[in-house]
Amino acid sequence: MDGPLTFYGETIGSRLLLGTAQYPSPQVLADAARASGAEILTVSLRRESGRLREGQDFWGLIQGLGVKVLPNTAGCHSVQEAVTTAQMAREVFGSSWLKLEVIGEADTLQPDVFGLVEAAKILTDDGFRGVPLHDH
Amino acid sequence: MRLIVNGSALEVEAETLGHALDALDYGDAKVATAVNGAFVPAAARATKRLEDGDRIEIVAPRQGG
Repeated sequence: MDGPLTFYGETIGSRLLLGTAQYPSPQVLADAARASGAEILTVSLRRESGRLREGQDFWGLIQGLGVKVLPNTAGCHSVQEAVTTAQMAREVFGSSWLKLEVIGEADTLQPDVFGLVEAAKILTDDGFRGVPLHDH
Repeated sequence: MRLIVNGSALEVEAETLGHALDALDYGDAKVATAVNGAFVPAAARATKRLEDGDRIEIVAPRQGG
């Protein structure tokens, strides 16, 4: 496909959306993001220790790349968990975009499609903007 | 009081969520919070009173997707 991608009125120059998991180092992640030309990186939330504050450096790195972020609700197994995670992500990342996931089967990560629809209804009513994706 | 913070039982002297974050050394870290599964916005932390046994989630940006 050629041409720009448009999400909710925002034009994105690259059709490549890049994940941020499993890079061998933050530097490799930053280099890969720059080399790819991707303008959207997917990000998530994890439990943060007040002593270690591991997430702070990651957020600084992402901000330094000047890209848009697409927060996800990976790891959520219920509608309530996904809704709460989405609300926390919106505050931290300052974006109402959302890659919504509700896991139905832990081993295969197959989605709970009924939970997804229920969570999507709650979240879109709350102003979130879901980005329809299917990735593997 | 006894709180469950990110899945771990801790003794924390704090009347509010804001006090708990201070007591746990989060300082000005960029985090989001939930108590007993419900999101608590940053602006509400100072007035969100805690009770013994409350489950607190404190999360931050991280690789994923």
